[in-house]
Amino acid sequence: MNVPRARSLPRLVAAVLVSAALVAGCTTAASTDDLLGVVIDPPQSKPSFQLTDTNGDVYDFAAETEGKLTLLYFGYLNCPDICPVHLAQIAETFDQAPDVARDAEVVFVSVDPNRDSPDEIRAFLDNFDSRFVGLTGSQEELEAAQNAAGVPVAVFVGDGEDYTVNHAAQVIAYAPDGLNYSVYPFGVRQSQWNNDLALLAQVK
Amino acid sequence: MRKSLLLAALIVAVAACGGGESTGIEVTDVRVGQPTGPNAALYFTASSDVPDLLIGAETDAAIDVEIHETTMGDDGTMGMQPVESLRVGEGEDLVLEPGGFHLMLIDVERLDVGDEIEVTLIWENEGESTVTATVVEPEDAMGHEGDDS
Repeated sequence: MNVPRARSLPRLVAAVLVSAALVAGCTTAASTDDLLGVVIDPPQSKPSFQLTDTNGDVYDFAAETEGKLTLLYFGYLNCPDICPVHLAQIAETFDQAPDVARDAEVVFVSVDPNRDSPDEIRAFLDNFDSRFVGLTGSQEELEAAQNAAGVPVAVFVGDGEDYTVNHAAQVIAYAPDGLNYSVYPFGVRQSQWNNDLALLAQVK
Repeated sequence: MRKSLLLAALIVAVAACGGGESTGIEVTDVRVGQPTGPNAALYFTASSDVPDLLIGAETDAAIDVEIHETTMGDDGTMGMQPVESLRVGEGEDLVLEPGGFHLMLIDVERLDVGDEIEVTLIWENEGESTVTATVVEPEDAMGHEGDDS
């Protein structure tokens, strides 16, 4: 009785290994099905645009983010309500999952070039994570970037210094394979960010 | 002299009475997202048995305070507009939360997580009520509904 059992053990191991391989194989293929954000179907390709980073250097979005999990968000610094929540949630996910953060690029584009200086954008982003990239540009360059990313161009409302900015509220996520599978409107929970960023980081 | 003392006592008593009745509006969960720019947003939940209107607010921690509403457009954009007042009572809580209503603290002083500031809420009928707001991480300014863990 013992002998057949002993013989079957390698088979069992082999079967387990095959199953594990299948499951592992499935994980990548199925991962975008498990996204909790707003799914973009079919996935969209990453846009090309050039702006200026907070060091004053030219930043080519497609080139700089190639092969990285990339999160693109258009906002402005005088926005106390929704902009900080998005960025703080992403930073929190990065704190919890350093391996996800390592190969990720978070790109915040200020759509309010008249008020937001490069230094102010840098200081704003350092509240969350000093690795976050801040971009600015001329009004024309910013409009081109928003058009390329497929978001409505921000609109300035009100007169004088106290104007507000109506801007796209969603964070656009690109997996390392360069495709946009999902976006994150305002109201996403921390647990959804944690789930989706870990999943998207695997899609290579 | 004695008369004026009596009058003063009476005023204090009436004021205290007024204060007692003024707990008609219950304000809870008062929080400010840690400022990341020149402005900060303050949130709370208020409930009242009798209808009232929040018509303003003041704090020493900011140059000015405005009542704002964040709204989403059909195209997915979000914007902020000042609003004149917010209604409480008639069976509905007044909820200020990210993505909805907030009190915008304009040119707010430096605040760190855990700091507390006093804010005076101005109600149309109730008058003034002072509440203490705690500064929280921006992501913790979100409400607690849902499955966040």
